[in-house]
Amino acid sequence: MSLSHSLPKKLIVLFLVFYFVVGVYAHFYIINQEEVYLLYSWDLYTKVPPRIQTEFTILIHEFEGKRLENPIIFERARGVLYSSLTEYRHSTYNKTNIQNIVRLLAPSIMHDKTKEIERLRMELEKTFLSHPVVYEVVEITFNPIERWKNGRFININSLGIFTSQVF
Amino acid sequence: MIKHITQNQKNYLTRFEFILQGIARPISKSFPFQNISKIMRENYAFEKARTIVPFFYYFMVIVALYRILDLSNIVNEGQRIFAPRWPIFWADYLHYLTVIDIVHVFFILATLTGAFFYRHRAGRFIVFLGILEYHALRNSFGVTYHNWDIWVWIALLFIFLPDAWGSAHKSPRKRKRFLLVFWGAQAFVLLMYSMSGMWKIIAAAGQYLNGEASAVSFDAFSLHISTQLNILPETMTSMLGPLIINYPLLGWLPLIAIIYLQSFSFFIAFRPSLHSIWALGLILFHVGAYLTIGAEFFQHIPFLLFLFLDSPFRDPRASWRQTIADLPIFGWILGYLPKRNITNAV
Repeated sequence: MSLSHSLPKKLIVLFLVFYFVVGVYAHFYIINQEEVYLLYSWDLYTKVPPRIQTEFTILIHEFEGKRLENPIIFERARGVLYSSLTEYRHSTYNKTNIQNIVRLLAPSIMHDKTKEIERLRMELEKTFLSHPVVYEVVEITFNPIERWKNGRFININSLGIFTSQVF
Repeated sequence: MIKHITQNQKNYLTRFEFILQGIARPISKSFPFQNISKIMRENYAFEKARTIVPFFYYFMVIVALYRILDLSNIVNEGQRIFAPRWPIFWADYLHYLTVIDIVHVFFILATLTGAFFYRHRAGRFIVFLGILEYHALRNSFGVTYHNWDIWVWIALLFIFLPDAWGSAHKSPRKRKRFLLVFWGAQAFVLLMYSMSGMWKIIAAAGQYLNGEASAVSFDAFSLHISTQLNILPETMTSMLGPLIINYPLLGWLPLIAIIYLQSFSFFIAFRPSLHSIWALGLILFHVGAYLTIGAEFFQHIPFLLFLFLDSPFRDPRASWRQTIADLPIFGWILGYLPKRNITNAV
C-alpha cells in the first residue's frame, strides 16, 4: 500500500487545513465576539503597541471614607483595595473581566446611556469594588515606556466620578 | 500568443521563470510527506515514537493532580459568572460545586486510566474526555484560556494511533500509520506557532507601511514589554523586562528571532534534522516570554520535549552541515551560493 495515498494521511492534512482555515476565519470575523471554542487563530501579541496609547481605566479617590492624597489607578491599588492576598488574587484572576467592563462602561458614560451605566456599574462594583469606594472612570493617554518608568500620563480625561454601592 | 512576444518579453519571462523556480524549489522540496514517507520506512523511528507516546499519558496524571491546586481559584470564580461550554452541557442540571468536583475527579481517574491503558483506544478516548471536560470547565468563566488547547487536540489525535504496541501487531502498514499520527501531532503543534508567526509578519508589514512602530522598530520589544507591565498585577514581576525597556536594542534581535522561529515552525515538520533545535528555540521563547512580558504558556513545553527533542524522524547520522542546509532562508541562501560560483566560473 502506498503511504502517499493512504486515508490517514489525507485525514491528517484535512485536519491541519481545517484548523488553519477556521483559525484565519476566527481572526477576521470573530473579533470581540464569542470565539469558536477549541479553535483559535493564535493571534497573540501580534501588533507592536503604539508609542502613544489611549485606554479607559478607573482611578480610586476614596476608600472607606478615607480620601487618598493622590488618586491610584486600579492596577496599582492592591494595598488600598484589598485587605488580604486571597481577595486580591481573586480580583486579579478576574482582571480581563474588569478591563472588559470598563471598556464598555466608559463609552456608555460618553453616550449617556443611563440603563447601561447602571448595569455595568453594578457588575463592576459587585465584583471588584465591594468596599465603599469613590472612583473615577477616566480616559488616559500615555507613552507606555514613560508610564512604566515614571507613572506619567500625557493626558487624563475624566468621564465621571461614582461612589460604589455596598452589595 | 507566444509567437508574437518580443525578445525583451522573452528575457523578462526567463527571468520571471527563474525567480519562480527559486521560490518553488524549496517549497516543492518540502512538500508534505516527500521526506516523511522516506524516513517512515525506518524501523527505529517507529520504535522511538512507540516509546515516547506513553510519556504523554504518564505526564497527564501529574497535570491532572496539579490542577487540583487551582481549585480554590475556580471555586472563588463563583457560580455567578459560570457559563458552561458545550462539553459540560450537563452542568446545568447540577450544583456548581458538584460540577467542579465531578470534572476534577473524572480528570484524575481518566488520566490514571490512560497511564495504565494507553495501549487501548478506549483508554486513550477516556483521557481525551477527561482533558476536554477540564478544559471546558476552565473556559466557562467568560474568558477563554488557550493554554490547554494543545492538550485536548493531541489527546484527540492520539486516539487514532493504531494498535501497534505488541510484537504481533507491528505490520509495516500499522507502523506507518502510527508514525503518521505521531507526525500529525508534531505538525499540529508547529502549525500553532506558524499561525502566530504569520499574523506577526502581516501586522509588521501593515504597521511599517503605515509609518507606525512595527516589529522591525528597534524599540518594538520594549513597547511590548512596557505595555504589558503597565497592566500586569503588581505582584507579578518581570525579571528581564526592565532591562529591555531601558536598553531597547537588546530586545530587537530576540524579537526578530521569535518571528523567524514561529513563522517557519510548520516548515520544520518536514525537516527532521531541525526538530530538536527548533524545540529548544521554542522552549527558550516561552521562557523568555514569561521573563519579559509575563506571558505564561508553559503548557506547550511538554509537547516540545516529548515530540521534538528526541524526534523519531531525526536521522542520528545527519551532519551539522545538513542541519544548517535545512534551515529556512539561511539554508536556501547557502544552497544557492556554490551553484552561482560555478555558473560564474563557467
